[in-house]
Amino acid sequence: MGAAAAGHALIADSVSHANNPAANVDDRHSTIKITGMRATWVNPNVFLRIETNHGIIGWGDLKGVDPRVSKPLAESLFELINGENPTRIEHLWQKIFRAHRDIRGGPFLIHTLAAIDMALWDIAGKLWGVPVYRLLGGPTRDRIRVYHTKQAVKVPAAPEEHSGTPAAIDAIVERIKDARKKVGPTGAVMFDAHSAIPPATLIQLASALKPYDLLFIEEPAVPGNIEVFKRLKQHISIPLAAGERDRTIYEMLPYLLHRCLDILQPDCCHTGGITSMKKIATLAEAFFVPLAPHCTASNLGIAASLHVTASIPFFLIHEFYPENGGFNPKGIMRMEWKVDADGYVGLPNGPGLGIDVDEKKLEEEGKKPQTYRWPGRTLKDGSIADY
Amino acid sequence: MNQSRRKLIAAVGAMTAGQAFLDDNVKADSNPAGLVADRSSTIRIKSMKATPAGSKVYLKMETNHGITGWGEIDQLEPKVAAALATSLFELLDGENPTRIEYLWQKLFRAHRNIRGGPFMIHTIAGIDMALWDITGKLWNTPIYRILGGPCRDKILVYPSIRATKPGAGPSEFSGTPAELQRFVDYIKAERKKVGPNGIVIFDAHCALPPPFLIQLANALDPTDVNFMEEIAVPGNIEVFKRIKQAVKIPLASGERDRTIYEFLPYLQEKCLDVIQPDCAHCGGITQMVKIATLAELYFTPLAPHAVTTELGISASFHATAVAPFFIIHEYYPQITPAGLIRKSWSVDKDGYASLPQGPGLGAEIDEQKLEELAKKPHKPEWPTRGRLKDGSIADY
Repeated sequence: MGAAAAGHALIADSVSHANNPAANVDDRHSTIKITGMRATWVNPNVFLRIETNHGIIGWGDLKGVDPRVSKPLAESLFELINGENPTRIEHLWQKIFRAHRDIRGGPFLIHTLAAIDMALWDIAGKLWGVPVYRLLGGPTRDRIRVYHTKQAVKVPAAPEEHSGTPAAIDAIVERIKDARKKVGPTGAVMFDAHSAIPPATLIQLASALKPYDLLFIEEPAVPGNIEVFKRLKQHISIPLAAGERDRTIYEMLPYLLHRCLDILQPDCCHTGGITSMKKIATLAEAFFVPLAPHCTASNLGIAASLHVTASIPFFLIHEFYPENGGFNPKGIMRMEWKVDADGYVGLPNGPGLGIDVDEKKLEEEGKKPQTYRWPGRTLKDGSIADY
Repeated sequence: MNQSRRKLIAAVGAMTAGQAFLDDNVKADSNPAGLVADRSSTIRIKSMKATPAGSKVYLKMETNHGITGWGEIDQLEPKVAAALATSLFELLDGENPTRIEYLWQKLFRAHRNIRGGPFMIHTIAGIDMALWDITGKLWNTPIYRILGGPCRDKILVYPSIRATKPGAGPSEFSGTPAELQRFVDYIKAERKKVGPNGIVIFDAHCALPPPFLIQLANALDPTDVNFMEEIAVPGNIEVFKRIKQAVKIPLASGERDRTIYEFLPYLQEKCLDVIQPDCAHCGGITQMVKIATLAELYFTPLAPHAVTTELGISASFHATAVAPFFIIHEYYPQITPAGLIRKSWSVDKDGYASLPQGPGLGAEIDEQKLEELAKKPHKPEWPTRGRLKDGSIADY
């Protein structure tokens, strides 16, 4: 007994921190700390550069909100991550989300949080020398279906009046017909209603669109009241998709719970970053709903979204505009994409998000004066269109 | 030509001539009365200044007719909120400030990706207050008159000697008997203080997670509290449904819910017995009145939340005055910096506030005092909730 007790004590002694050098060795993963952040406004984005004590840099794409507001917000939030271990991504996400009880959610906070979140994943991936999708449990596929390609196109809509005339309906149907002709019977045609077609008109239109076998109708209504989506789902049998303006799991759940959408479209940069998008994919998986992520980001935001997409089970198709100069200002965020003949892009690089940043160009462009204007549209009677 | 045909032709001729004469007269460019522009049709917004002072932002909106309106932006990071208000001005510049509903929609619908959320809605709320202030001053009347007139002549407020609100801080997910007893004793002591004719509201502050809240509610007597406030974090109505099934005490919430869209689920899903819109958070007077209409439909009274200065409180009072169903209004005089605001109402010994006198909001800002306050350095607060025993961050 004495020997056993003594043996026990010896082991306890050995493994206690105070006596075990191995337990005391700090490694790069436990000692890495955030030391700084720079936010640079180059229209229409604010690019976040997060620095650490181990010399690893993470990048975040802050987009979709007024940069005059999001830049000072990001800078103000920095105090919450300064000195923290950047690999504690879930903890830091909650720290920011729960920081101020009255500033919970909403576009400004969540888009800013999204950018910080993707920068943290970038750092974590670089720390461990792997592309981010590896840290997310992936990849679950070796290539990702995208649009627009020869095989997949999406027809947009403009704000319509509250009820559609035959002429207005026919004009849209014509464009769908053309798109179907372009991609042929094996291709995909999507229709982006853009919340611009009010429910009564959309119901009329959907009937006219039935013969064209749309992959989905995107944004059938403005987000805000799930009852509208329920009403539309009763009358429209074309698959419905939405989610680009719904942030975090909380805003996505009603669509799934009330069986209003067939396809969920989180936007990584809008919905709360990689952390949020991955959780949303898990929710969707429980409801057998595939993701068709919305994406009008720079290559940086595209990469973040594709890393998540590479790691999730149910996925349909990904919006993809790497050539768009409006979304990708001045070629600052660089990535070599390879889209194959079938309309699929290869997985993004690593380590981290795999983005090559032209820092010189970023600094140059950041010094130039940037301007920003609020959009907005009106209907025929002068009232403000809601879309 | 016989007499009747001549008469007919003459009559037709006269009619035609008469018609032409009439057309001439009522056409706008010939009718001086039709061209008279009045102060209401020619008033235009010409500037807006956002001044952060302390934790608030004060908006000063000026017009071409020399009428000035004030609004308060509450519970945001002040520098960021001021940047947003300044940014939004391009949508207001040159517009008629009495077109309040139109301008509210113009701001709300301006950018499809910036729809709702704290920053947008609190800022729009401040702007909305200023527009109502201008409109009331233009017609020389308190705002509640333009909203359909008051339903009450005084507004019950708390805290007072007969109305109190004990509260909770971040707690673990499940309460031990000791912790529960502590809360029960605290609440019963408050009830004793205000007596059987008083009002006791327990502010759970979202800080008691659902399991703990259910335990506590079931440990209280039915008359210990009038209702429980903020019983769960907003975000998923399913949580509120779950709590409503398990608890017999009336439930209230709403201080962090913005616009009619965020209030509807509480009413439709039968989760709340009292709703608590905050004028400065829910979208201003415009939204608060609409929310009161929704609540009327569901026989649910208002108990407005407020942590604003007397400027924001005045705005909330105007909306409250016209709400059909109302219980009590939160009011902390100590939030208003001394000497900053001259309000036109007061609280009597029974805890009732008189209605604001107007015109407009009926609250005047001392601009010199504001300038003084604005100069004081203020560190913006990102409080980050208390920690639980395991080091994780409490959600509330």
